[in-house]
Amino acid sequence: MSKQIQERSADTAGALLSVQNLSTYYSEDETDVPVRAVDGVNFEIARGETYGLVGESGCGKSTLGLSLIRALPPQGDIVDGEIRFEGREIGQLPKSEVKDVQWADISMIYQGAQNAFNPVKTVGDQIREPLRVHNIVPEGERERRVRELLEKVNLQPDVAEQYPHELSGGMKQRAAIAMAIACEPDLLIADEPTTALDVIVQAEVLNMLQQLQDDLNFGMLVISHNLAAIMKLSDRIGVMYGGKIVESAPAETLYDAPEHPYTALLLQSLIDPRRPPDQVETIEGTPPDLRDPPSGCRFAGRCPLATEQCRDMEPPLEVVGEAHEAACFHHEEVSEL
Amino acid sequence: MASTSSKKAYIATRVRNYLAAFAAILAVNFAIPRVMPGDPTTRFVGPGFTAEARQQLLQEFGLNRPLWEQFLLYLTNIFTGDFGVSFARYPTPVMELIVERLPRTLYLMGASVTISVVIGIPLGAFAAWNFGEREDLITTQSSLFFRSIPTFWLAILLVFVFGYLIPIFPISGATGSANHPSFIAYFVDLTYHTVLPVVTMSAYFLAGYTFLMRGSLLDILPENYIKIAESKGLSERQVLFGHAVPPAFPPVLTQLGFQIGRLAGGAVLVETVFSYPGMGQLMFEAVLARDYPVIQATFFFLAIMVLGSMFLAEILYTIIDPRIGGSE
Repeated sequence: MSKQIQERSADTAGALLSVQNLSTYYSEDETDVPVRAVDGVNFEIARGETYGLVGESGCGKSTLGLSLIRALPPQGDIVDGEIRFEGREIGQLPKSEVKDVQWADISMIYQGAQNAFNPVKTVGDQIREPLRVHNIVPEGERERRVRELLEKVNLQPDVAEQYPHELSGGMKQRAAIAMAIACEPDLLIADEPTTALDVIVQAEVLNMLQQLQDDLNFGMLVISHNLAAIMKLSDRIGVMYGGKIVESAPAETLYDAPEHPYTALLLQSLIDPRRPPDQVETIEGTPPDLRDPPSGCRFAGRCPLATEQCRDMEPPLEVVGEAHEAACFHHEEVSEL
Repeated sequence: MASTSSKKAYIATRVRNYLAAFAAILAVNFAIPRVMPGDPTTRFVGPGFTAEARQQLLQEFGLNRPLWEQFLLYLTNIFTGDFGVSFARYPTPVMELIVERLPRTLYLMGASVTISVVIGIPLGAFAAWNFGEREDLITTQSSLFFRSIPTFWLAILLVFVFGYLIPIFPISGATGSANHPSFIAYFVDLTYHTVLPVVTMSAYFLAGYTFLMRGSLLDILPENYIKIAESKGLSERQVLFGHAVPPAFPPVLTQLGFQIGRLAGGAVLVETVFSYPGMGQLMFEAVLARDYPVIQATFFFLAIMVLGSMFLAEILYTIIDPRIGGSE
């Protein structure tokens, strides 16, 4: 009931999720130099919208997802910024006070569905668990609800009685999706939903996520290093580099006219099956050390357009076109890359 | 379910293996007194026996007959619970001694298994959950201490401290008086008398379970399904005991099977130090007195206990971990 009220107020407020200046650091203890995995990130997701987050491994995109659902490992801490979900600030609250939001309102498909399920419990038990924890469906109807969820992701309802080791990789990924949508969340975070799946299953999973979003109208944050998957799903894409969002734009705009050199090079490194592999572009160098990031632009060390200015000053994220932002002093030269 | 039949096959294989082991125990137990140097007759029949008693026993056990006939007789005797008479306590039947002693040792073992499991496992879980923190450090350091000190030394230390310096616990016997008004009174008396032996026997294994559970959990806690359980809105306790401990349990179960075996040996030591009239003390005295029928019977019963507990552990695996026995 309160959820309906919140939904209405959220509709008027616009964004379902609004992240302002979010910073998440990892450190073993107070004396340790923290790893600035997420460093001052801003973005918004509306109901029914899909926001895609791309970037290399270690750029902080998974940390961002874990921050939103408040399931960071013990070393991780949200040190600054706010996460406003349906108007309520959930980023700075203690973990114990956001348990009602977890899974019921914000749920997540974790990277690596192969061990998304506890090996000693049945798949059905684990899908049913959030229904029980959040008391979403009356106890007598949970069994039926679990079977419906499994059918929704094209699995036999009998999978509920099976143990995870009896399922194939693709089946596990679908079951993990069923588990994630069990409470009909308002925001679904999908961290690498297609990684480690063969191409046919990848396409199936992507179609399924889109179909479910049409049915349930949740906002979605898709995290992947797979540009093709992100392009297919997302309305809007954020490109992350070294803990920061360096460019954000509608999917087509980003693909057709990137304004940040990193995005441009990332797009060029896409493998086209018609091109021989020896012509594939790579980006020279390695991502910055997030314990001690460079003072200027974090991409300057690998950037073909970098100048003195880039190394001294950090370029702010600026509007460069319609609904298009990029953090580059030389964004006008990117099209020449 | 597809795995039910393979589960049956798994259990059938275990039953076969354990029956084979049981047969081996029967054979070895039969052979030991007979391959020892000297005339087997003198091993089975005490030197202080009268001529008639000697004849009667030789007759009864068929010790003057061919080996295969002896073996059949031995089997018949075992399955009818007839282990002969004790030399040292002649003419008390061995079975009578066992019936009197075995429950006391079972109690001692049961209490120490229960205590070490019930305390050791949550302690290990607690340490793993607080990995690297002070709680973890204190737990592992003290476990290391109890895992390292020799059992006999701990036993003697306990006797010295609680029997002499602060005499709050009895240091010998199973009970204070021979007659008890009720079973409860007997049980209370027995529990009071076994505090020190049980602590001695538990310490080593308790620390073992702590280490095992901690190590097993440290492998499991980074798993995705633990993060997912946390994200589902479960409390820390629910995540730890509902999701992390069950899959961490199989190695602990293996240890449990072994513990009962080691406890049988430990019982000899602890019962001797605390003068506790159980199977261990009986065995120790029998060895000193060369009371062969008693040695043979106590060996047999301890071997059966170890075998039984290992078998039970293997069957429990299939219940606790559905992956085991699924693909045979």
